[in-house]
Amino acid sequence: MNIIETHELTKYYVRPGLKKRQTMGIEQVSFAVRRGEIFGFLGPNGAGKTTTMRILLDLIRPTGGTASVLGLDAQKDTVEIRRHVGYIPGEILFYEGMTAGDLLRYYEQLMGAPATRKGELVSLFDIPLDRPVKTFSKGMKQKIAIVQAFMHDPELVIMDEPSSGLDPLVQQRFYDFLLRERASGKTIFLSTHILGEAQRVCDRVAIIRKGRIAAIEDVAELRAKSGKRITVTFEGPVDEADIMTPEVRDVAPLEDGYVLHTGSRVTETLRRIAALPVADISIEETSLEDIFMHYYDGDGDV
Amino acid sequence: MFEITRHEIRQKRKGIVTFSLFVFFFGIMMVAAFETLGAGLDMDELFESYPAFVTELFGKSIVSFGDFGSFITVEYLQWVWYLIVPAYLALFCAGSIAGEVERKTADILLSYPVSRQRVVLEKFLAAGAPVLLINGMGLAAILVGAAAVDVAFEARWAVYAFMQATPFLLVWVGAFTLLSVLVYNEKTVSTLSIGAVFGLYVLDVVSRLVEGVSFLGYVSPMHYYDPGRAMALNIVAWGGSIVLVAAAVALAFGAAYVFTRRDISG
Repeated sequence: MNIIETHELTKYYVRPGLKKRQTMGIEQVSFAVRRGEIFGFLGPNGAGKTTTMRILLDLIRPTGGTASVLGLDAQKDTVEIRRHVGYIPGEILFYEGMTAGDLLRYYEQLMGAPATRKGELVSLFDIPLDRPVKTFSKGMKQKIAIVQAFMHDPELVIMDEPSSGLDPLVQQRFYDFLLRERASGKTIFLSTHILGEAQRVCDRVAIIRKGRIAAIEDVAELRAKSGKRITVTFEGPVDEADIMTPEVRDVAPLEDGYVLHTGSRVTETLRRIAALPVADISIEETSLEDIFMHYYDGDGDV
Repeated sequence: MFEITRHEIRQKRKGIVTFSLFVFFFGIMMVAAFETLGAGLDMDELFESYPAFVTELFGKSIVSFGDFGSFITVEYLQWVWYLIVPAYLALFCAGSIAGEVERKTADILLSYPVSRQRVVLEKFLAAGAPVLLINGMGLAAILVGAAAVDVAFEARWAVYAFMQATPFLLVWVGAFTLLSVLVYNEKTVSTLSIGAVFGLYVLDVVSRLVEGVSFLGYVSPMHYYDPGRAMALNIVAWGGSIVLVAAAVALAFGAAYVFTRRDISG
């Protein structure tokens, strides 16, 4: 049984006003998340990641299509589903006047079951329980959200851009934590707009764009598609053949140079380039835009 | 059960206590005013010299200003309970759903196993705390005050008046909760709610003053609750209260129904 399954899930938002204009949220989104995997929803902001996640938790209702979570209907059985699911929303807001400790206690009461992992997580993420939430930074609120989502040891955790606001050190600790959780059998569905993050923690990703799923792939395949982007300019004319190596997948000419897309290995290419009259060079990780442009029907306009 | 109710009351406890104390001390002040004013001035003569609409505005069922029950009805119950307390409850309830959705605290709340109906009904119940405390404080002010200034007044009439005030206030809570699920904007909801209180008060007065439009009064909760009937005329009738209880329940469940059908979007 798949932990999450959607079939042609579609959501149009009705804008208030006289004309009742509809704007598209997502269109015919179908995917499945398997038990025990970390599944990533990868796409730029506004692609429909949040919309999909909110439908799974019945915060909003689809215009069409179906969704099931843990084998239950996402709309009809939502209360039962939420007993076994943790959630980190994209925008995290708490009751400002409460202390972190009172807040977690309240969520524990709402769950109606003891939060067996509360103590462990509070110390892992260094949550000061006696301080009021309103004194916390964005990153600290994010950490509290992580604790509340995992403290009941749910079967599935749905996380909307969970690492945003975390400083790099905590981010690292969080990724390690996710990988440990997966090892112990938890299923995780997370969204991100950062390719590197998806590659770092996910087993599979759905690439979502303009409300539609562009592709669903193993991260290994995605990694094969990603690589480096080398932008190089020369002091004089250089023939394209002079810089081509088996590492180069794609080349686009500039006025006085080239943009090369390569795999992750660039040794030979750099050696070639070094022998030429280089004016300037920059090497970057392939961006999500590049991947769209080269592998999916896209025009890179994300 | 009732975690949301307890949480809501806890969040707003300072406001509830402060407002209830205001109601209490205001009541004590009015009793003291009766002691000094009511005895000296001939209020009845003054009152009768006003045109009919002024007397309608201030008193529905009163005997005379020399009468403690009538005086308290006019100077305290009939405008504090008709206008000030509902206005306070409007502010109390506006945030209950609209505020949570607007501030996005509803997202995490609704990721826990609580149904939307339960959220609305527990929030409705939470407003029962200020309703009971305010009524209790009003009753205490009158009884303590009456004992202090030593007027002849039977406590049971005040008890009846406040028992009937409870469904009256709960109807407002129901209406405000319904507004709070219809419009996810706390400011708009509180403005509409307070507007409704004053509007329906005026409607009640107009329906009694202008011939041929008395039917309009049936829409106003004020039509079904008249503290002076018990306090001044010493009449106890529960018909109005039954209508109010039914309306309060209908409004609360109506709000729950509406909330289950809407998207949560701030």
